[in-house]
Amino acid sequence: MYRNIYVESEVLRYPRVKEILARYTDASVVTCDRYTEIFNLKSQDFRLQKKQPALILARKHRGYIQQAPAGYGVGGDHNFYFSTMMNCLYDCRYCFLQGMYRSANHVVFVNYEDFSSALLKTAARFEKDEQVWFFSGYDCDSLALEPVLSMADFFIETVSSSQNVWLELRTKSTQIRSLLKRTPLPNIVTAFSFTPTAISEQIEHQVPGVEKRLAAMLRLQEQGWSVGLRFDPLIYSHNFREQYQDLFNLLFLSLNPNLIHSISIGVFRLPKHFYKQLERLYPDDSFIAQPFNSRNGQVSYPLNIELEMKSWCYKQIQEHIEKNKIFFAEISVPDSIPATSISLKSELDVRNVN
Amino acid sequence: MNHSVNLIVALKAEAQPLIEFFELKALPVDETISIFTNHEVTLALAGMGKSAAAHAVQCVKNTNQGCVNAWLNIGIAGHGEFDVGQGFLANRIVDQTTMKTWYPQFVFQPVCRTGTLMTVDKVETDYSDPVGYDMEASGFYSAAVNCSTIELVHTYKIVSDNPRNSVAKVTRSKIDNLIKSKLSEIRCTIDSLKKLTAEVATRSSSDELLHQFLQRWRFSVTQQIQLNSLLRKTNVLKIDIDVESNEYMSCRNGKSALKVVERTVETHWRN
Ligand code: SF4
Repeated sequence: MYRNIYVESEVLRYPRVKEILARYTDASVVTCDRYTEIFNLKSQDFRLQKKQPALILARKHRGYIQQAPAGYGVGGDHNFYFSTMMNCLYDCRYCFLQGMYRSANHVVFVNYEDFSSALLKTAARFEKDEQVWFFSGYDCDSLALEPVLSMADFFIETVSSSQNVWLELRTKSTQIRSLLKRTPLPNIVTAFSFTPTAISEQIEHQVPGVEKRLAAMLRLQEQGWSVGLRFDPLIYSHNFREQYQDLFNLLFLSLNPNLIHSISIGVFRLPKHFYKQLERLYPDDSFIAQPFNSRNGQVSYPLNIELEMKSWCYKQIQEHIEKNKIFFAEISVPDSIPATSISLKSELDVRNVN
Repeated sequence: MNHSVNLIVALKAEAQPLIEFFELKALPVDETISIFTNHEVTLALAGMGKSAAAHAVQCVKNTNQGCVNAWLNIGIAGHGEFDVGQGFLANRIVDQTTMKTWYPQFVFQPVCRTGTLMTVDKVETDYSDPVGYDMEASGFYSAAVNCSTIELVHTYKIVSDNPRNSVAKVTRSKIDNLIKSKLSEIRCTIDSLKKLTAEVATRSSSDELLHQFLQRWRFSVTQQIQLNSLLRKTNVLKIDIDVESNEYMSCRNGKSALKVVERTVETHWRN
């Protein structure tokens, strides 16, 4: 798949790098000093690069684990995220990555071991009876490149013997083999993001179809893994009720509710400057062209639409699942929803990612 | 918006076969360099060296104002490993003097090999590394990436000398033959770049409707940007705007016309 691979000379001898390179014997491999020589330079074009992203194998030197923005969680006591990869195989038109990076190349930090030690060190700061969550898939899809990167496999192993350390693998992928080959662990949640089929086909390019993702969830559940559902971003259309009703029916009538760990809901939203970048990149795209509103530095649907979608979806979902498993992922709050089930997000936390 | 693929070439012997192949005509412009063009390709005969290449980029940029430009530096090069006659696109350009390095980005499938190109100040005769050696690429590249997005800037070289074939034997007719032998690779590379520039150009094309608005009302610069963005939305969302309708006829200035477009786009939500 990759035709161009850049490798920092520092990691060229890593066994993990050798394994990855062995998969792409036809690719042109170029060594560099630091990935920043190639990634996110001033005059790069995300949309052009998305045609044929290069793979960049690099080493991260610090900042392995980050505090998750307020409200990012799904019921844990402490929330962190980590990104061993920047950018994604898929191409969702609402994705914040398009606004955040100028480059669509895939950067993979191959020193997983440093992330892993930092993760365990972070977790060790808290009491054993506190749930400490680590979210992967913040700047990428956690599983899409699993056959190549074995990233989920590695981090599942990292947290496998700690009961209070939770790992969320957020994905739209069906690459679940690393999970299926293991005995299920209660502290791993594979969270799948969904929009209704018609919307997904229109704006989630290269993403496996809704039915395929559901099939992957069912296989995980059959084996005893718990899964999450992420309806974030909710995407408006004049018949959103029918579209989401169909989606909810399909998912909730198929999945085992006892093995659904959590559900989160959030409408489409982006920081204004990210949205401006998307307008520049995709002026011909009908999703981007919608007359969104701008509030508090964010671009989203007009408030009435936002509230209507959230409250309607919440009502539908709670018919299938206990309220305490439903979480909100954004700033404005519909009046009709009990405050106890709402986690507010900070202004910074406005990423529509997986 | 117009778009062009600009070829920067150092030597007359390198340029001539290209001028003939693409049927380029001389442009009466900047007196310091010669520029040739047709409807899709512009060629600048830069002269030798990094600064000459950078200067040529600037000259072509000045002639192609308001155009989406791709850039391709074409020429002969020495190489520590490749055979004479091998064409290659640079995937890394190193300036030997400053050791500054650039990494051209490929978003198309190259039709030839790719490799490192070292830009030197004096003709290389040692070929100490298994890389290409030229005298223009770093000057060309650093200038061109200031005019276009990186994906649209590339360097294509044909090996003319190597440890087994001395540079002293490179004659004018040999250069001519080398370039002629690689015209199809050059053509393919130009076609790939052309497709990309066309794509970028459509992103910023303005349309007839905008023209109608600008003719009827006056808009400030900010209002023009807003108007352009709104009209693009109406186009993409297939919302009809009729500047002859009563709603628009009653608008006394650009501001009120802009408001009407805004309102029209917003009411689109519920329909
Ligand atoms: S939203 Fe998620 S799946 Fe889609 S492109 Fe972004 S990171 Fe990938």
